Amino acid sequence: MATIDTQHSKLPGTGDEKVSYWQKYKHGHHWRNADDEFDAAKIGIWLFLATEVLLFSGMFCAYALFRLMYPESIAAGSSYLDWRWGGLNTVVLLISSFTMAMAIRNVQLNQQFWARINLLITFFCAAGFLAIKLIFEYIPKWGQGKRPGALFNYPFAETSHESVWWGIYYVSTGIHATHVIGGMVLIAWLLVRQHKRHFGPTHYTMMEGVGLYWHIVDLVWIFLFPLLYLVH
Amino acid sequence: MTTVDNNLDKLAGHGHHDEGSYLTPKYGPIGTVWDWMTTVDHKKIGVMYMFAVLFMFFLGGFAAIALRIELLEPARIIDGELTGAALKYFPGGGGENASIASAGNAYNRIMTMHGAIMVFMFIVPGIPASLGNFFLPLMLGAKDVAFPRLNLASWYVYVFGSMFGVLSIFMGGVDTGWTFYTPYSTTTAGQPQVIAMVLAAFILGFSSIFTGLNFIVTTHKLRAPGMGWFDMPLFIWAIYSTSIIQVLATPVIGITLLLLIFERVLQIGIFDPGLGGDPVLFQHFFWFYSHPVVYVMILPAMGIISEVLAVHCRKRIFGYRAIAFSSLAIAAISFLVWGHHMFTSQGELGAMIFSFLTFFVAIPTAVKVFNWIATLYKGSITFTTPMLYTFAFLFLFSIGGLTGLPLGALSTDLHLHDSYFVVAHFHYVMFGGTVIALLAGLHHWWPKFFGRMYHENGARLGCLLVFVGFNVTFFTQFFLGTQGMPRRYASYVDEFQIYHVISSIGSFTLAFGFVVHLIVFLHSMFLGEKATQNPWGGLTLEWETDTPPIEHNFHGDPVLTHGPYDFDEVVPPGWDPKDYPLPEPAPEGSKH
Amino acid sequence: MSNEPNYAYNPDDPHGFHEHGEHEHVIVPWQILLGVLLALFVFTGLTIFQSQFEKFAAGTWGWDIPGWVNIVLAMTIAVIKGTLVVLYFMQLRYDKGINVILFLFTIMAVWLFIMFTALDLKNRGEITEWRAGEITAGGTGVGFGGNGFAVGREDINKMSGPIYLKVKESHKAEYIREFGIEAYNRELHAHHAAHGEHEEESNAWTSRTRTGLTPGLFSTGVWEGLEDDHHDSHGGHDDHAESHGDAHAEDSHGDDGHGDEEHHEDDGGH
Repeated sequence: MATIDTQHSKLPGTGDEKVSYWQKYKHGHHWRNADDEFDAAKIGIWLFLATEVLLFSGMFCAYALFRLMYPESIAAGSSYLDWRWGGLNTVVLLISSFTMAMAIRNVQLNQQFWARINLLITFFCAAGFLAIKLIFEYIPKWGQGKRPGALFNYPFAETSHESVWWGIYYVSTGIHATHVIGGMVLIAWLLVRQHKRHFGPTHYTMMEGVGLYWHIVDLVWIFLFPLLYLVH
Repeated sequence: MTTVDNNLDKLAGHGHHDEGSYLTPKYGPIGTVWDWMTTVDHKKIGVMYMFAVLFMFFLGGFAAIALRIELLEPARIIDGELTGAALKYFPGGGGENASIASAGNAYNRIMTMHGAIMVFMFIVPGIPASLGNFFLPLMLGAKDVAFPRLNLASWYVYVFGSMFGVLSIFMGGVDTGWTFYTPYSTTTAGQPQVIAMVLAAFILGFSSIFTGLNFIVTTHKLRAPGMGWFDMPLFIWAIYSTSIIQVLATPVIGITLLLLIFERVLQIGIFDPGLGGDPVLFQHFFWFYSHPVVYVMILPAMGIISEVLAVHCRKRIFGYRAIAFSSLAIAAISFLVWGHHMFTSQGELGAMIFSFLTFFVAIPTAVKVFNWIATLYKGSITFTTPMLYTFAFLFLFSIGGLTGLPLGALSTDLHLHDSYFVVAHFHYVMFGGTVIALLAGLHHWWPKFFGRMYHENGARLGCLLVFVGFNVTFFTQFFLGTQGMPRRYASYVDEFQIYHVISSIGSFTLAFGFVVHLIVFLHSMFLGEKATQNPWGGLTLEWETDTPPIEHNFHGDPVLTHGPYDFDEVVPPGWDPKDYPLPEPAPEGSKH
Repeated sequence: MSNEPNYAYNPDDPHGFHEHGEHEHVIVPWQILLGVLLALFVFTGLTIFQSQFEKFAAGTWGWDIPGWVNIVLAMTIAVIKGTLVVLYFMQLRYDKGINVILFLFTIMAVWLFIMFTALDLKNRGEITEWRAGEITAGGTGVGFGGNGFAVGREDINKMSGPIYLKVKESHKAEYIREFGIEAYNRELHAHHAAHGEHEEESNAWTSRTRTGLTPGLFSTGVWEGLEDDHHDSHGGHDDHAESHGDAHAEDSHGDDGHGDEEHHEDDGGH
């Protein structure tokens, strides 16, 4: 396995004034030790992820029900979407998930430089995802009148519930995109804290938490992509 | 000791500069207010929650009394003159030019206000966020909840969400009913305040999730050394089960209400049948949250009853594990029965399956009730106010539970659906269960909260008034319901008037009972006699610290020396709580 | 507290792994992470391939791959991908049991939610059969446009019927005036080609299947229809639509106004 980047792991008490935050950090006062605090944070994050999954499950449920009630409307709606943009976005998100996992690994090994690079890649992948979504999908489709519900204005619709399809499409991808934006904010915050040397082998709880959140965003897209773009 | 910058100082506290009561102000008046507003101490947050929640309870209570006043007389026109429209001066009521329609309009808005405030702002956060917040860490022997800042955030989110709810009332009130059924809620014209109220419920969901998440993690990771899962007080088990429901169910109401707002603002057509959407889907979404949340309301109440019952008859609780597991069982089953709220709107197959599953909830609930009654057997029962309320709970909750059976059966439900029978049933469960248990818990733990005793006889009088008033109010409504009085109506036929008058008189008695309680509490806060450390002789850890607790809960790390209900081992016969502390326990029972 | 070392950092144990015996933070090797990423790419390619292959095979070789294959394969691959992400990227494989249990409970709650909500799909009509006539495919068209951001669509709201028909009616003439009938037909045909021929609509309680499309799970006749050797993606539609319609003999589905017969004619003429 990789070796520790000794350049950045200044030992305390050697006269070096710049002892990093992560080296000083012990644990909150109400915890018995740092391990308990870390485990608790992990359980907390997983519980939070549970709420995220259930939030999205509402959209999946709506999709499933309308899919079962009006299959050809949903299939027709799906055929308006280009799998190439969806596929590209899948790849972008998968890469970002990978770099996020790598960033955590870097921090665990105190490779601060690579952690920063990986976080930056993650951040730009997230931005790229949103850009692709907005420029190649939302804006053209909205312009063509492919809008949800009462705003529906697409004159070539053939099936009865296409407006409902667009409702599901915009809301589910929109909530997902909101989560991507939230993830970008969190990753930017990680970058700032990482720059201040807040994370290191003994203290990287925040990285881990944001990482898990970011993976769940990826996970939701892994299911949204085939359901919206490929199932017909 | 090296301190860490950032906010950690606040969290660290260092445990040596202050060992006084958490209530002792350390700064001047403004500093104290600031201290409370930025506190991460679960006790202060619990107290703040308690005041906020009780404020909302009184707000919702005023609405309820307004409804009962309106219902004293049916709104109708006699000789060209409108009579019985007591609410015509409320928003939307039409004032001097009131008509039957406008009177009904005002009634609908007050009714929705009552329902939405009581459900979203009072009863859901009620017990977990106030009593739970204060006592969960104390009972576990922890210094705080797992995520103290998240806990504070939860309170602020609660206040923020409640402000939206109150805002919608100031905007004229919402008349959709607290369930916000589509398509009415998404298409009713001229009511932008619907969005404010829905947003309020949406935001309050976050506060609920934060609290639940915190409690689950606290229970897992912050139990005192030596406290296994089956050494936990049953209140913790109840709160833990509650928290599971909160975490798993609340996100669904989040997406539901979000979709409802989108539907209302953008008309995305998912719920609106006019646009090809499915209104029954909304009901499924809504009740997937709102049925489990019924158990968010009642489970902590059951936890309180388990505590109060054991302490006030000084007896080991009967069937500890059965009660503990029945809490988890209720939490699990609660996710399988939501369809019984929509027997008349969903398909036949779904209705049958949901009806079948509904009866399963009765099993763990009955397990609890039987165990409580078995605990009473040969206990040394003291007739303190908490105990009186516990008896009231057992009586009222049993009625509430048993009247649920005809509602869970498809055939009878078709007759009773949306009638006053349903109203009476859920008030027996929600009020007769949760509120009564909250009052039991409030009196039981009141000394721990503020360090003073309440006036026992005054509280007993309040208890009597509440019990009698409640039964008069709601038992009558069972008769109304079976005779066909539908819920949510401002007017009715003459035959029902006598029942409505009796019911209204009962509600006034009930309100008077609460005024008595309010006076008793205020009297106690300022003039009550100082409470001892353990006035009831309880064995759970919250009684092992000072009254009121010190800033960091315990002097040193609490060590578990006996189980929460080991009265038979620890408490000698004839012992009086005034002689606290308890004599040394038998050496082999010690877990040092 | 003052006797304890000042820093959590211990030079002899820079990762802090051995401070507390039972606790270990796992560092996943980069080879595994990269391998998982590549596997995810492969599965993404696979799911796109199977989706495209179905259309291609139907169009070129006339293969009739049953519709359910599409959704079953797509979902299977999505589950595999999701499992990989959860196990390795989210490191659930190396995590505490409690987190695993928690995640499984979450999945179970989602499953319950969707399954129980889907329970009453097929039999709503049995309770309110007499109301069947009130249902219009695509919505009643009542009550939109007066509320929220959709104001200013009063022109459309004056017409009766579901929104997609209203929009079509109001736009068709306008479009033809602007771009000519040719362009309209071309656009319409492009739309048709994208998702097969038009058939009878579904309504609130009956899914009418289309070959090449994934059928509704509860729609009758789906599984029997799988052996049929016909598919509509390149050819006449009417006969097959009829035979499908017959399969739902019990459905009291009236001719809910489609109002798009003219498009078939447009198609044929093209």
